[in-house]
Amino acid sequence: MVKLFSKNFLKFFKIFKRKKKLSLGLYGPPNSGKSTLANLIVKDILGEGAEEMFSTSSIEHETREVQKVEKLELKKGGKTLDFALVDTPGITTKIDFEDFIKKGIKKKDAKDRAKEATKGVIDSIKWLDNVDAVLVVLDSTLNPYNQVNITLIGNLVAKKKKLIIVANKTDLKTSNIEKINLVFPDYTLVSISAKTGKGIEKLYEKIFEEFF
Amino acid sequence: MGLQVLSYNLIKTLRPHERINKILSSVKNGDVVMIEGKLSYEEENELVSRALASISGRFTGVEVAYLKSKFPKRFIDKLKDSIIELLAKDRIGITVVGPSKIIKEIKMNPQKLEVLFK
Repeated sequence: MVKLFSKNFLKFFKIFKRKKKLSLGLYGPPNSGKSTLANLIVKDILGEGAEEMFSTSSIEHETREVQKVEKLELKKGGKTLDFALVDTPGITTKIDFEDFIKKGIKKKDAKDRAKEATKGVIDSIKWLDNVDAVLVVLDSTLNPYNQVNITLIGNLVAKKKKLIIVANKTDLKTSNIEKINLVFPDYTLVSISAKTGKGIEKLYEKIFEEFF
Repeated sequence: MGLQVLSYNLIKTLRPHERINKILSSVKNGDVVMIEGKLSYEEENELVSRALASISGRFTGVEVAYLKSKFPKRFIDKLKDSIIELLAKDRIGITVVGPSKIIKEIKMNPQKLEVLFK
C-alpha cells in the first residue's frame, strides 16, 4: 500500500519535471551495431554535419575502448533529456587473435587488436556501474538466446539499471524481432535499423517514457 | 581434455573467489566443468573478466551456458516452479563452463544445451 502510494506520488510529480540528466550506455555483443547507433543519435542531435564520432567496421571488436560523448540533448513534448552517450566494446567471453587473421588482419595487428579488445571488454563490464540507463543493442538476425545476452540483462536488472532492448539490423531479410521478444518478454523492445535510421523516432519516444 | 562435474555442496563450501579459481583453473587446463546450480551474476562477471584477463596464445577465453528448464504452461506447474525456486534458489539448473579453444559453440535452448567441439 505504502509502495503503491509512493509510486503514484512520484509519478504525479514527474508530470511537472522538465529536465533530466543521465548517463546512457550502449551495451551488447560485438558487431550488434552499437557504434552505428551511437553515430546516428549524435548526428540526429548535433546535425548531419557532425563528424562520425565512433568508428564502425564489419570486423568484430572495432570499438575497443569505452567512449563517451557529453552534453547531448533530446527534446520531446517540452521536456529535455540532457545525457552523456557511452559507447562500449561488445561484451564477449572469448577473444582469439586467429579470428582476426581469418578476416585479413596481419598477425601482429591481430594480436594487438585481441589484446586491446580484451581490455575493452573488461572495462565495459566495469563501466556498468557508471551508467544510469542502458540500451541493450542486439543483432536481430542472430539467435538472442545465449548466455552473454542473458547475463548482461540479468546484471543490469541486479544493478537496478533501467533498460530498453534495441533489436537492430531490421533492414536485413533474416531479422527476427519476434524471437527477441519471446526470449526477453519482460522488457521494452524497440526495433530499428541503425544503418537506415528506421525506427529511431520510436526509440527516442521510448527513451523518454522509460528513462525520464 | 576431461569433464568435471561439481556438486552444489562442493561449490557452496568455497568462498566466491575460490569458486572462480576452481572453475577457471580446470577450464584453463582444458577441462569442461559442469556445475550443479547457477553462478550469481557477480560471479559470472568475475569469471568472464578473469578469463579474459588470462587470455594468452593457448587460452582464448571461456564458453558459458546455463540450463534451467522452465516455461511451464499450466498454472499448477508454474506454481510448483515458483515454490521450488523460492526454496532451492541458485541450486536449480546446470551451468557449463568450457575453454573456447576447444568448444566451438554451446547451443542453448530452454530445454537443452548442445556443446559443439571444434
